[in-house]
Amino acid sequence: MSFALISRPAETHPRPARRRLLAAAFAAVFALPLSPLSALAQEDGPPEITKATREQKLDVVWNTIDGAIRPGYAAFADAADEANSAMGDLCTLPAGENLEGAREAFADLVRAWSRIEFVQFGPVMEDNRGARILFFPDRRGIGLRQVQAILADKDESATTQAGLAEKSVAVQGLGALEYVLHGTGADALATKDGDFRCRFGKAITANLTKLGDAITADWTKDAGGIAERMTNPKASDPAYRTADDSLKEIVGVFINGFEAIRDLRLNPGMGESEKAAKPKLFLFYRSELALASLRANFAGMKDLFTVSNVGSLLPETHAYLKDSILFEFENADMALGKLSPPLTEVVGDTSKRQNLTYLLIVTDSLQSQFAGQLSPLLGLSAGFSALDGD
Amino acid sequence: MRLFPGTKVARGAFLDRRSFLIGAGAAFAAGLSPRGAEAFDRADALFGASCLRPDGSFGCAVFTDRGEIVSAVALPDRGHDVAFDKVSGRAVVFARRPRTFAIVFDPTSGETIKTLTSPEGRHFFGHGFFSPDGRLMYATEHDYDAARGLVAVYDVEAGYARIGEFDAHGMDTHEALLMPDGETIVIANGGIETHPDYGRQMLNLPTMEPSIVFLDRKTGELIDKQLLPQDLHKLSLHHIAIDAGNRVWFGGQYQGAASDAPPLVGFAEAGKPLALTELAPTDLASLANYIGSVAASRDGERIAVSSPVGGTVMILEAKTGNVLERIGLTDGCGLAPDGSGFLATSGTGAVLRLEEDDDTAMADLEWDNHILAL
Repeated sequence: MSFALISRPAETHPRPARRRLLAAAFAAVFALPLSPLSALAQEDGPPEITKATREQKLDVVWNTIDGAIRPGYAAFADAADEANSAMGDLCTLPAGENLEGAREAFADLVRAWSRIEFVQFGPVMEDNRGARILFFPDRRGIGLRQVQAILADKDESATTQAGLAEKSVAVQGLGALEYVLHGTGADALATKDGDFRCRFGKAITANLTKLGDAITADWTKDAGGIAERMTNPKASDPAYRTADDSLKEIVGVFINGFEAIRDLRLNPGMGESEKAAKPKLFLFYRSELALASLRANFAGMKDLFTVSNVGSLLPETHAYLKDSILFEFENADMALGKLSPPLTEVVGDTSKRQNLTYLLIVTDSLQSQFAGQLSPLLGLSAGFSALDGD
Repeated sequence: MRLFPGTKVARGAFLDRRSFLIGAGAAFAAGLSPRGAEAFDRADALFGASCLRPDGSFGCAVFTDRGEIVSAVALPDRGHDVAFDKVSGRAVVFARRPRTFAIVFDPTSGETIKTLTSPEGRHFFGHGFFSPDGRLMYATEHDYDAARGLVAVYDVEAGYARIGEFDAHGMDTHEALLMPDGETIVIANGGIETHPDYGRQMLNLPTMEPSIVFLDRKTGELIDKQLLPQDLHKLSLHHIAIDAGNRVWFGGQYQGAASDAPPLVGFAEAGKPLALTELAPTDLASLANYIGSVAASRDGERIAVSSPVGGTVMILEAKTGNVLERIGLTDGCGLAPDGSGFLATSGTGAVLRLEEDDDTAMADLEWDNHILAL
């Protein structure tokens, strides 16, 4: 295996412009607040940091919370509730039509989660909620074995929300539900033989509903909640001391999100070549929702970028970066538009695969724009990608 | 000149200039370039650290506490910590995880003596040290398919042949040091599962289990393993330093919700539960849930911890855990004992003698996370 390919994918597709961006990103991640600008300076002249006021920064934080995060989680909670009803229908009347309904509701639920999943701070971090909703990757197949064991043993304790919540996080969320609806033996759900499997699935959707509701409630709480803490930072707050601390969380969604798409969603399944592809490492490969999830990832982040208006904080000399980021989002859309499911087939086909390779390059470029350009221009110390620490 | 007979060795081999000159340092000084020699002559002590150079290339530099570069070695990619063998006068810089190189070099000239590559299925975690007799080098490594941390053993005289590996009894084995008894290895296991197939992504946050482990350096036998309490299982332990009382101070990096504001600093002693130091909420907040390195003063009476994320270096009294000093240093991370105090470096190029009034020196490069006093 090649680390180089995996950790710095753009190098396998050398394009001078991208390489410069990558270098800037690298320097930024390496250096923190002052030096990343020297990387920028090589391309763009003397560095400049935003003169935005605390209020302007906090407006961006508020826009993000009220315009993207709250509706994003609310949509997820609604989709979980829908999926729970669909599972209920299926368990009551195990028929092909209801199985289709449950699978469609699952697809909607995956899309809703994928739009908001890279907001990885605040309420979703508490009590492993994020990992309960989606435990991925399951590199050593532990979660899969646990799910299979529940099905084989007909473990009744996994058929209530409360019982399930006590179990391994890997059997509580979308991965487990995908196996229930699309894994080996799933067609039995359309018959009475699928009774236990259905009730397990229903417990998962009930659990996801509860998690979605809890996260939504935390985000909508006014006094003393995360929204107030982030939009009214105080020196005494361990997490949000300044407007920059709050803004850093928002910008971090993009930096960490694109990194995660690259490292967890694209590279492992793609492998180094058509022949080395490992299509079973794509998230949601069983349900063929890998591509739908990626589309929602990009759409969610584009929405978050637009709604937040974070581009308005850029210094005038670098205001173009906003359009340049939007242009890269368009490129991602274009690449995604050229792909059709299942991704498991795309990776083994030389010509189709090129679109995915291009998506990987665009992902890296977006990551570089946020980590290497936007973040230092906003005067945010890097440190920043959660993965940079050592 | 400060020599403290019987001083506990905290981070690899400490050597001030005088003892350095008596030992391997004589050869070192003789091998220096004229400019390097001049800088060396003025310096009380020398340090080694990985860095990013202005042209974008990675290296490891040997420098004085005034930020003057004495020598430098080029690296193929980003490096991490440095180990120094005072017997041979050679230094080794380890790759930052998940990379697979370690470079043995001559600190006087920056000449590469040998490039080591971790075996198939292993990568370096970025830290290591030498046995007191200079015969063996120990490096933290990762058996990544099994998600198992290791301390690998290299035979220096056999051309750094890798002659064995010890189970580190945990994942994410990061910094390892030799205890002052010269026989016991102490290890900080960060507890986070990673795999090079997934870049640097953290794969096991719900179940991570950091630990401090003590091993016999000759047999690899487990002497003790201490875990954090369950409610702190997301406090990854990567960096350690040993105080005058043989206590192993650790600094944590919290992977849970930022607002939990857990304790970040504490110490380990073989056979005893881990002790956590209570810091005032404002001090804790200034460390931003992330400690990037830990060092002990030469007399072992003080411990310094740095947070590049919070832009803070804090000095604690080892006996009491009381905070003695707080220093703001943007992206400050590298720490080493220097004279009676500490030297700190930053990602912006700063070289700062803490507890001294002189100006911050700026090197024309970006310092990586750690510095070693040669």
